[in-house]
Amino acid sequence: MKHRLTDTVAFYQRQRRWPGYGLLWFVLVSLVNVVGCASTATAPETATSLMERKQTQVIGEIRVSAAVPSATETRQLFGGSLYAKGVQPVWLEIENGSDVGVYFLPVGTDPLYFSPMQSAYLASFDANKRDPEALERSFYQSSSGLRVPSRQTVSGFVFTTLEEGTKAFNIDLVSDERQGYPFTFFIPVPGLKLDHHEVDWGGLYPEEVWQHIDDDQTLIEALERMPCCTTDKNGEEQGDPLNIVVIGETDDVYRAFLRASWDETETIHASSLWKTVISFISGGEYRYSPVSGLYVLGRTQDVAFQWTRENIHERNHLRLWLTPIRYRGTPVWIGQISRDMGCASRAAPLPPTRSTRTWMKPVNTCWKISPILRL
Amino acid sequence: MLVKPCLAWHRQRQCDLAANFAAFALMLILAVLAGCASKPYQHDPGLLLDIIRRAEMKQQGKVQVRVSVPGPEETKAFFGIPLYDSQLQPVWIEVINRGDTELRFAPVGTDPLYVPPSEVAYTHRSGFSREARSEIELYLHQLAMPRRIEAGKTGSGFVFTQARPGTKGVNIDLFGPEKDDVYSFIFFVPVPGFTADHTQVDFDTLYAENDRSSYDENGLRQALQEMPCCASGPKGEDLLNVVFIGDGNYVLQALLKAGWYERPARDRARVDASSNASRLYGRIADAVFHKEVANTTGVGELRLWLTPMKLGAEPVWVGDVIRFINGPDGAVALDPDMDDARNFIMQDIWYAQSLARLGWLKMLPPVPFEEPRIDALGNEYFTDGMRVVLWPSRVPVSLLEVEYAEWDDPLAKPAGDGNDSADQPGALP
Repeated sequence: MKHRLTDTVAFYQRQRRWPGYGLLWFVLVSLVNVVGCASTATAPETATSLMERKQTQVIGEIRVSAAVPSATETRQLFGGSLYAKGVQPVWLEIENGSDVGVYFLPVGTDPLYFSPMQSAYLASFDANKRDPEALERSFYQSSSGLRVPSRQTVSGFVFTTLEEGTKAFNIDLVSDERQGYPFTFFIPVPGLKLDHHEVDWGGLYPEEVWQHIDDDQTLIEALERMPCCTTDKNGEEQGDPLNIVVIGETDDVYRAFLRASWDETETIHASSLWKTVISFISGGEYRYSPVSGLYVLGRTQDVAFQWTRENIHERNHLRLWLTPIRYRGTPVWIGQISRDMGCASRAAPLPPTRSTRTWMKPVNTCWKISPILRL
Repeated sequence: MLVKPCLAWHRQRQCDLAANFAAFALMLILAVLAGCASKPYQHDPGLLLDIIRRAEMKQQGKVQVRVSVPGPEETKAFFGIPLYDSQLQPVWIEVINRGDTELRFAPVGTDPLYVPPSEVAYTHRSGFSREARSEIELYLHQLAMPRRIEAGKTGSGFVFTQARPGTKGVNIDLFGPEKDDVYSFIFFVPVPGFTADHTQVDFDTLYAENDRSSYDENGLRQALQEMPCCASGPKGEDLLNVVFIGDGNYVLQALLKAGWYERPARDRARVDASSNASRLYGRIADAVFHKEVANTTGVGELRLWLTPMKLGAEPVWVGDVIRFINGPDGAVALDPDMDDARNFIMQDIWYAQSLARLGWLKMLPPVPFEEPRIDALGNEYFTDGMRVVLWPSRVPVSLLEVEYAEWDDPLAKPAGDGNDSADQPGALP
């Protein structure tokens, strides 16, 4: 197909030769490859591996399966570095066992989703040797449609905005009889080393330390006895106020923040440090950058989330510690949330002793996406 | 040049000259820096009256809300800092709570990317003296919209939102202590300094009354099938793949609510003079809307024409919706998948809770990927040949309340020519 899209791609491919920076790019790419340990699996092997990881959910007569390829798998499947362009394909299979057709609405999965041709265009940056028309055709044919006719199965990719770590997304289906089928998936994406994967939740506290509380007043008193602020490693210097309390099972807490567009955090290792340095220098947005450890209850945070705005310098940080308190059987977490406004960081303005009150920003965010039950 | 002569100690005179020049330059730089950093904070608080005077008001039960949006120049004068230059747009909100319980205002409902006043002050501190910076911080803090409005009280102030061109759609969510105690207001506020292209069209005189035809649903369906598939241009035709049925204000509000923004009036004359513009009924589009898509790597464009057809008394609009892919140096390329652009706007209106009814209409035989058509500018495109028909709603409609018109059946994604196994929809590449 000859149209302006392929002409533009050809222009970009000419521009991409980077004659003056060849050596620098060679060094950078070599380093990334060393850190990333590029895989050499073939596309069919990758497809098999992807299908083995698929998750399936059923509501009524509708069955939905979903899988998310990693950066390496995406490159092997599509021939271009879509992750580097901020595009993450999500594979779906929708089996409609009902007597009426259903709509699949990709805007519900990602309002910023990429069209197949736009994804082909972005992939073409790294696909010099492929025929652009074949590339476009391949993307077009692999994309999902909008309709799933009665008693039929439809499969394909939706090209979404990149979310590494755990990919949280909705699949909204609406039948011709106006029946809704809302699916929510949380799919781990291989490639990141996340902080909360390294916590031994069962071993944090011995059984006799746990406090079991059933009424609000006792909970408030217990929280008031908690430290007001984070400290340094020695527990001497007081730092930022502990200004948020979250009550929920571990998975529910993760999912609440993931659905509200907060990102998980990588542990400190060679690759994450390298990405942090590059992002810091270039002003890029490494959304999963390791964060410094603040101390509460004698240890650094159990889990950290972050919400990047423009770049690595402008982000909201949330650190959570599991407390030895259970409220009506549910774990209680205490946390510190702050908003970086550039080079300086400013903690939330509430008095630190009011630890049962939450700063409004995360509450607002969670409130809008409704996993919050009580405020 | 300054250092080298000083290394040659025997060339004392040259060295002295160089040293003097260096000292002078240093003092000049320091003086400039000191001057820049000592700028006092100047602003005009009196402009608030003008901003409030044109506020729009809505009421639900015992809660009254007013909203106004200052334009770029007004903002610069009132706040003393050019917020629009940083893509920030202040929105003035007033909530009068005549109820018996406290209300909580959630700025995330107005803009999930709103910026708190302390950060606005911090990011605009450059060039101001220390005292001026404190003044800015205090001023913005005092002007911020409060989070809580006590029973019987009034709360007012600004929320700093992301700027967008054209009429500002402002959503205000208020929550009381009880679960069902929720108030949701939506405003469409004109912004001073911006004139939308559609305000330049006199829709009442576009057609003589004799030229307008009113149909029932079957008649309209037939008339839409018989009307041209496309708007004509110099090199080809632009596909008219979307139909809106409803009052122009409802169409406008549905699009604004879904995040589409209007085209400035100044662009209309430029397009009208261009020989490249496609035309329907002998004229360029009556209204044009844009929206950044695909995480800002592309732009959606919708061009709408008012037709002489009516469904009963409801006006009928036809449009051409396409997606552009951002290319190098501001150039754009057409996304040849017309159906994706059409499906996107349909979902967009649906998710904005602005879709009352939805229908599909066969417009022309499918145009396959392998045998594309040519648009007005010579770009190729393909389509399944369907036109989507949208009835915008004046009131919010939930996802499951949308009605379906029993016109043509929507199509599943077409299969390829079947020559190879990877040709089927959804096949792994």
